[in-house]
Order: sequence, then structure tokens, then C-alpha cells
Amino acid sequence: MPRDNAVILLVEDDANDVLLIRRAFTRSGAPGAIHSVGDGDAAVAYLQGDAPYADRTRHPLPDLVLLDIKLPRRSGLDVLQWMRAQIPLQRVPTVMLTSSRDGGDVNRAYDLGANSYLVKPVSFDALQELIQLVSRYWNEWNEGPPARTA
Amino acid sequence: MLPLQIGGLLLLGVVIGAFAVYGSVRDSAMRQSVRRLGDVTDELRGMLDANGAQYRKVVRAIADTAPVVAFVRTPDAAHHDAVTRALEPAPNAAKEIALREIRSAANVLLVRVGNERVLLDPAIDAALVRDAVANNGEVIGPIHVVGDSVFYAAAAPIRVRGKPHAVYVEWRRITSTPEARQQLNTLIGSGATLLLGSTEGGGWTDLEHTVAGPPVAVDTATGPIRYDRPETGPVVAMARHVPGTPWTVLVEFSRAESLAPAMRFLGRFGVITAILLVVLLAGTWMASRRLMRPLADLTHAAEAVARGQFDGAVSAGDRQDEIGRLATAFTTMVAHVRESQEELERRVAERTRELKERNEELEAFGYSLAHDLRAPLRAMQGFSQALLEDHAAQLDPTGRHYAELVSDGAQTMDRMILDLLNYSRVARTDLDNGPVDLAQTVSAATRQVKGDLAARRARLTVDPTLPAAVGHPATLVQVFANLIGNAVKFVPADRIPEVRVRAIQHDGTVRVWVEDNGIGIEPQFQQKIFGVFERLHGADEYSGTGIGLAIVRKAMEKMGGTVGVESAVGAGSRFWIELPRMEAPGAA
Repeated sequence: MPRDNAVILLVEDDANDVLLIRRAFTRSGAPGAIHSVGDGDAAVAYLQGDAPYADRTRHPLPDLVLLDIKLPRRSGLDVLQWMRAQIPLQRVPTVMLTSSRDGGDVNRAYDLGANSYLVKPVSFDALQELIQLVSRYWNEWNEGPPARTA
Repeated sequence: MLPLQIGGLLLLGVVIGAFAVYGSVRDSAMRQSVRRLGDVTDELRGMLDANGAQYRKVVRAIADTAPVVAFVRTPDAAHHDAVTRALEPAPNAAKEIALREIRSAANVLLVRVGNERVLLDPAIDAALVRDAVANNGEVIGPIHVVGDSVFYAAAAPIRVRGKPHAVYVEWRRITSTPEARQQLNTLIGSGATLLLGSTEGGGWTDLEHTVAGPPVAVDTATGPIRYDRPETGPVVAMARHVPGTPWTVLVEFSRAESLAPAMRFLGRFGVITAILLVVLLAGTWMASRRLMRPLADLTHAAEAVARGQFDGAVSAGDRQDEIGRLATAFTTMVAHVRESQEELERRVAERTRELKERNEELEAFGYSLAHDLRAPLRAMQGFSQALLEDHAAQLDPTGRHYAELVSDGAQTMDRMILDLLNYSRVARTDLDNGPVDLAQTVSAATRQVKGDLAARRARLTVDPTLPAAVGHPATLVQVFANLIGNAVKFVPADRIPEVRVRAIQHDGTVRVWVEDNGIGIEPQFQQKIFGVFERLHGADEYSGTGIGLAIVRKAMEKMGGTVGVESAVGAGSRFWIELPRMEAPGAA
């Protein structure tokens, strides 16, 4: 079911990557919005609705999380593990988007419940294609878990 | 060897002892022989002495008989007949008495009875007559041997009024009956010979035949005499003169016979020695077995240690002697060596583990570094592209060209990093080889380079009957992708690339050729191109990182295969890889 207001939470510490991914997302013409945080603790705070993310109208719960692994304060794998332990967050589609192709990281991510594992390409064209595919796949074609009634 | 040596020494001792004993036995046997010899000789002499005395009485009596005296007084025909009849021997003595004669004091024959004169020596008669007259007493003559007959004579003066007027001479033949010889043998014993001879010559007899006399003068000797008899060998002899006669009695003992007891002793001793030797050898063999067994065990254990086996212990039972201590010491030593060995192995394993950890750390570091390097590259590429796309209007053509160069450089570096990561992964990973379907592998590789093939509108021909081989599937996909990618890449821009993949099976191996119609490779570079970062062309001519073939070679090394190229400039290149053939029949 296509969602025009799909929310993507991008957990990425590299400001350049954030900028490039936002640009790729914009250029891909996919509907929805990207919210980004720069470290693991911030991601947890955002997802819990802690300050400064308490306002859910400004900081809505995401339909998709793009999660880097190498993050300050708390790694992406720790964030994933935490998410899967939270009842409201345990089914949120989470795609690892990282530079690491390390086999151990890949296995660990899937073990912890990652829905997909993607490696950031260097070429911007490839990045744009990737972001477009991801957002279309997860936000248009993929049937996400039904929204919980508050 | 040891038992033989010990046995030999023991045998030597026994033999030396035996000869000492034999010497004394021999001496004692010889002494006994000589004593018996003396006894026998003395006894014989006594017998002959008695015989001589007896015989003198006999001839005296005959000389005194009336017919004899009457004839001597009145030597007429009547008396002659009477005396001849009187002297005729009795029939039972006829054999013994060879001749009876009456001779005048001047040795003129007066009467003769008997017919064996031809055999007898007249010189003896003459001597007897002379002596009998001179002494006016009976004399006994020497032994006279003629052929197989032995004679002796005795004479007695025939007296008229006490004066010797004539001489009675009687010759006797020594006859020996078997019984007599038997008696004599019993007396002198076996191995002994009795000889009778005369001091003044006349030959020697054993009372049956003439025999050669002893080679030395015997009548002066009183003790035992030793000499050689040509026919019987060395003898010991004893001689005695018979008093009142010219006779000498000689008894010879064969030395061999005398020493017979010693020889018998030696024979028995030989048997005993042989038995003793067998017993000794058996004994020493058993003793040496007890001695050698642990030594043999030790030797085997030492050889095992030399081969690098440290698990053997040497058991010497509960022996407390040097061998037992040696076995214990050896076992202890082996244990020490084994401990050292194990310690060494443990330390090597530890070092290996440490090295492996370091290696893994380094690998993780390289991996992480490579990925971290890609983030700034992404920024360079992404923003230079953004510049071109979003701000092209603000840039002049040179500015736009520079932005393109930044973008290209970043992408080139990214490929290099990815290739290096691949190379290092291939170089460090131990590949588990297994069956590989080469057709599927080439097909997968083709998909990877589909873009390159399409960009050059290349024609790829793959032999439909590619066989199975032994290798690592994923790595082989990369190998073929690199080879096919190169085959397409190194073709002049104005030529349609034609790539052909085919396989040739050899004994136990499969060689897969990847052939192109490209620019070819000069011979001097055909090995060099397999090195890391080896490039033959500028990046603007033929792009690439210079790592692809290095990965191919490393991958083939890891899979136990080989790689090579045949090429000529302008005539294309034919790269080949070779792998062990898959021998499974009817593989699914």
C-alpha cells in the first residue's frame, strides 16, 4: 500500500553521506520524508520519543529505518538489538546501510533481525539508484506491519 | 656374538686345563709302564736264569752218564754205538733237541746225534768246547737264530778222573706252543714285546722269528731305554743280562701302548669337553639373552626416538643392575625430550595463534580502513557530480572538466580499493575446493561483466560442453569475470571484441582457454602482467586497476591450479587456467 507520507529515519554520522543520501532521495522523486540522527543514542532517543524528539508531529515514528553500523556512542547493531526488544519497534522494517562488507557484521545484523543489508556505493548514480529502489520497495511494494492503535 | 665369545673363552680355559691334566696323566701312565716294564723284565730274567741253571744241570748229567764216559775212555765202535743209542732223544723231546754231539777237547767231532748241523754255527761249537775245557764246567752258548728257527747250545766237559777229556754239546731248538705264547703274553701284557738276544751277536728273536735288534746298545743300560722302531714307532725298553749265559732279555713297550690310558683319558675328556661346551654355550646364550634383551629393547626405543616417536618406554622389569638403571635413565631422558618437544609444539602453536590473531586484526583493520576510505571518496564523487548537475551554469567548461576529473578519480580509486580488498581476501582465505560446474561458473562470470560486454557489443562464444573440475566456485567466478572482462577491454575501440571460452581435457586436468581478438601482449610482459598493479597501458587508453590478473593468479595458486597466456602483439591473447579434473562418474 503506497504511502505518500512515508517516514524514513536515517541513522548516519557522516554529514556528507546524510547530504548525499538526502539529495539522492530528493532526486529519486520518491514520496515521503527523511529524518536523520547522527549517533546511536540519538536514534534510541528519537525512537523512544525522548527529548528533543518528544514532539511526534515534528518527529514521527518511521516506517523504515536506514541504519549505519559504525556510529558514535552506540553502534547500529546495538540500536537494532534494542529496537527488536521493544514491543512497538520490533517489527519496524530496518535496512542496514553501511560501508562495512565484513562478514561478521552482515551475519550479526541478520541475526539481530535486520530486514536487509546494503553497502553504500561510491558512485552517486549508484547511490541514487539504490535509494530509489529501497524507498520504492519498502514504501510502495512492501506490506509493512499494521500501525498499532495508540 | 657375545655368547660365542664367552663360550670360546670358556672352551679355551677347559682345553688348557685338559692338557695340564693330560700331561700329568701321561707322565703317570709312563711311570707305571716303566715300572711294569722293569718288573716284567726282571721276572723274565729270573725265569731264564732258572732255565739256564736247569739246562746246565741237564748237560752235566748227560756228560756224566756211563755210556758217554765209557766212550770217552774207550772210543771204539762198540762204545760208539752204545753212546749213540744213549744220546738218541726221547720221542717227546725229539723236536726240542736239535743236535747232540761229543767232541774232543780239541773240538774234533766224535759222536753226532741229530741232523740239523747245517743250520748251526761251528764257531759257537768251537767257543763252547774251548770254554768248557778251559773252565772244566758247563757253558751256555748264545742265542742263534736261523730263519724262523731259534737255537741255543750248552756244553759240558766229559771228565775222566776229574779232567776234561771231551765235551758234550747239545743244541736245542726253542719251540713255542700257542699256549706258551699265551702265557708269555699274559706275563708281559699286551703291547709289549719280548726279545731275546746275545751280547756277542747272533741276532735277536721274539722266540718265533728273527727280529731286528734294538738300534742302540742295550746291555749296558739299567734303566728304561727309548728308541724308535721303524715298524712300530717309538718304544720304551728295558734290558737285562741273564747271569751265567750270554743272553740278554729285552722287553719293549710301545710308547703309544704305554700312553693308552692317557689317550683314553684324552678321548673321554674330549667327549666331556664337548658336552661341557654345549652346556656352557647354552648357558652363556641364555645369560646373554637376559643381558641383551633390554639392550635390544633400548636400541629399538632409541631408533624410535631417532624417528621422532617419543611415546616408547623401555621396560627392564625390576632389574636393579646397570642395565635396569640404563633403561630407567633412557625412559626418563625420552620423557624429558618428549616434554621439551611438547613444550616447543605448544609454544609454536601459541605463536601461530598469536600470528593468526594479528593477521586477523590486520585484515580487519585493512577492511575497515578500505571501507572508511570509501566515505570521503563517496563525498568527492557525489559532490563533484552534484556540482556538475546542480551548478553547471555557474562553471565554465574548464571548471566543469575539473569537476568531472574529481569524480572520475574518486571512482577509479574506489575500484582500486575494491580490487585490493578482493585480492587480499583471495590471498588470505583458505579455499575449500570442491566440484565445480565450469559451465555454470562461466555463465555466472558472464553475468558479472554483462555491462562491459554490452558496452562493447562484444561477441562471446562459450563451449557448451565445459566439463566439471575441482576448485572453489565463487573464486572461479571472479577468475573468469576478470579474464572475460580483460578479453573485452583490451580490444582496439574500432574492433568488435570476440571472446571464446573453451576447454581441453588432459590426463587428470582441465585447461580452460579464454581467447580474444585484442591487442595482444608482448612476450617480455607475458609474466609481468600477473603482478599486482602491473599495467601496460595508460588509464586513458585502457582503464583498469592492474589487479585483476594478480587476483586470477593468486586464486589459481590457492585452488592448486595454474594460469598462463599465449599471445602475440596484434594477434590477440589466449589466457588459460588449469584445474584438477573432476573424476566423479555420473555427477548430478
